[in-house]
Amino acid sequence: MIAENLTTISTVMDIPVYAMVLLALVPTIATVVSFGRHVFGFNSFNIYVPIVTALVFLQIGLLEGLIISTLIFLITIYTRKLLINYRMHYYVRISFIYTIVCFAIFGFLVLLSLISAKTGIHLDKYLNFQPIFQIILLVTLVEEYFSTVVKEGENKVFVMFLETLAISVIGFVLISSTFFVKIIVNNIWILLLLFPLNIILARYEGLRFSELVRFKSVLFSEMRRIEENEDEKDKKKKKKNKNKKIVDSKTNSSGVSTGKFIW
Amino acid sequence: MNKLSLFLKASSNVLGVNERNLSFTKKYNVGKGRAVADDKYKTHNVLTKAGIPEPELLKVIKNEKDLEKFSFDSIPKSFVVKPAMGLGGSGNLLIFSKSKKNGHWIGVNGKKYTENDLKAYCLAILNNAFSLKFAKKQDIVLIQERIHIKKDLKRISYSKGLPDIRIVMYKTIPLMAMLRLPTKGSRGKANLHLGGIGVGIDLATGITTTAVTYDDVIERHPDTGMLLSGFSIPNWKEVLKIAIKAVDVVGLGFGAVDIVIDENRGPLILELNSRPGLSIQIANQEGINGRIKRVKGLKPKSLTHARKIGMNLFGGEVEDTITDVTGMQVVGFIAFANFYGRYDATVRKVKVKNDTGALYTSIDRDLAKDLGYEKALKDFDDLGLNRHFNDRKEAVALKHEASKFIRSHPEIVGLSATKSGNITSIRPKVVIGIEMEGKKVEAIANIADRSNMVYKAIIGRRDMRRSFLVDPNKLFSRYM
Repeated sequence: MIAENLTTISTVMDIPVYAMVLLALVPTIATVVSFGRHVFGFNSFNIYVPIVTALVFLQIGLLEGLIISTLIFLITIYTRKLLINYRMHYYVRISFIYTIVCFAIFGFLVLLSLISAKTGIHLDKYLNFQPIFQIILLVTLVEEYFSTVVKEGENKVFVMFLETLAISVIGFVLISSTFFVKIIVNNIWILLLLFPLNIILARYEGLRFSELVRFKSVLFSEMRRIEENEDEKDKKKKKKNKNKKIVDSKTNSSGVSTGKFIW
Repeated sequence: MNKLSLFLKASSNVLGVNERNLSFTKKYNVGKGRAVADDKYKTHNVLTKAGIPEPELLKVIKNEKDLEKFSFDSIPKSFVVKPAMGLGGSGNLLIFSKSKKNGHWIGVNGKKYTENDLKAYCLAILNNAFSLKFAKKQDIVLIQERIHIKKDLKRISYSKGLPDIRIVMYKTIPLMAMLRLPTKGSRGKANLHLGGIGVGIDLATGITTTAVTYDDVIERHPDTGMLLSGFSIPNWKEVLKIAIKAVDVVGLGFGAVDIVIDENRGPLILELNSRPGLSIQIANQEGINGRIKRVKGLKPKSLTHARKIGMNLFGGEVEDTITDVTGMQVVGFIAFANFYGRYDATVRKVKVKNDTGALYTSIDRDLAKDLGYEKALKDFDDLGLNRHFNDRKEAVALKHEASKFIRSHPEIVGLSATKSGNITSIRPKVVIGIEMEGKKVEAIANIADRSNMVYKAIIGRRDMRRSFLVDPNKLFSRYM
């Protein structure tokens, strides 16, 4: 996936291209997550989860990564539901979930090999689940999912999971495109641009994109109110001028008042 | 004004999560105020010291040892279990009775709990299951008495669960208020993000305005079908008073106070919150930032002053609605009015009584002179009718006779024989203009000697009929 014939500092300095790309990936995704959160209102599972997920996607492929992450997430959520009525310590509950997730993955791999043996279709041609270490890395996210679902509730967590996957895919696409990799490897200083971007984000106080939608009705009524205030100011100005005129005409007239009602 | 700058102005009036977390909780909440507000046990201690009413605390469980020693049979049958550092009401468990058959406690949704279940729940709290993620300390279990909610409030709320009132405060000035109602979907909890209903409250009157659930505007309660707007909160002034007191004692710079109204004890402080949810803006259809801009420079002289600032600045929505629907202006019993003479451009500002017991508007002789009716008064006096009659019939007869002379007068439009007490007097009637709260009417007023009266003018039914509604609750504003 990664372009190899690059005449770069990496060859001069004897640093593998791969290492540079992976190092670049981490701050990039971190910035994407914070940008997505504060400007668009995406809710992901911290920054750790999208970074790990994107890294694993890069190693074992997008499709495999998506399948395994979804599997782990769903099993975590439903095992928690199963265990919710049993009284036990917090850590024991998590280790239960770990155990069940690992068994499920084992079962899933067995199932795949069974299917390929029975039907003669070699699924491993299309799906590569060999790099088990990366899969274990995904399994460790169970804890993060669990603590979030306890705090935020199920409905919200599903949305969060989809948004996390979206951010991870963005990271994956960025880092696996030759164009991006070329830029990074040839001009490693470009990562320094992340600093000003993060500095701007650090003090960003505007409304998030999701809040514009949420507060739509408030925004409309505020706009109406501001407009009304402006109109009133205009009216008052006009009225003042009018009053002046009447007083003027009165002082000019000789004796008999000709002023009418003011309204 | 172009659309973009209008939009930018409007969006700067609305408070978002970014700004709340960055500026509001950190900039305004310096010192220990925030630490106290985030911990319900600390809040309890501070409030008790200051003598501010709150629900009775039945039991505090600080660690596992306390929990082992404690028996749920030793406290009343209905209670609430709470984590001291819980976030957004998610850890509260409401128990409202105990079944006599098997000794199980019954929760809000009819769910049954054994003593072991309740202890497991407390253990989860002690293990920081509901507290802030980075909590350094072990959480504490608080067991409070269950509140017997005020009957008036019960009427519009879902029967199981606790409706409460949230008031967002900037220092000691109340900014915005909302009534939070639990629903079946929220499992008896009033928190908006759990499915409760938020109803905006007009700060001046305590009358509800717009209702929202999950950020959508609704009209009726989904479970009870009751209309949610136009409901008057009981003990409204008292509610504002204790909210202000609590914030003052705790020293919170920006935050929210949650208050419940007990049938017997009145308003009680439920908790304080240093990071209030933002949906209250939808329930009030107005941004918090816009309101803060209006009070930022103000320094209230006292707590009462702070309350009055909030009530004066952020009320009037209900009146506006009435004005929109009926076309009538709501005025107080006593109000300031501008009087215009027919032939004079000068304006007189007078404190008047809006007297629905009188038919005609009546003004003082001095005021009439000021308005340019000096000649008319002199002409009237020349007729020799400016005296009191003990016999009403005599006065009426004289009035009829004099009317013939008056008919050709350019200013006096008629005479009236008015009885006040035992005495009848004849008064001349003239046309004047009255302006109250920005609304103008042409009125026919009789001129009488009111120099001994408190109000130099009263406005009668005839001239209010098409334009004004009198609200006895409304106070006149000195800064009109």
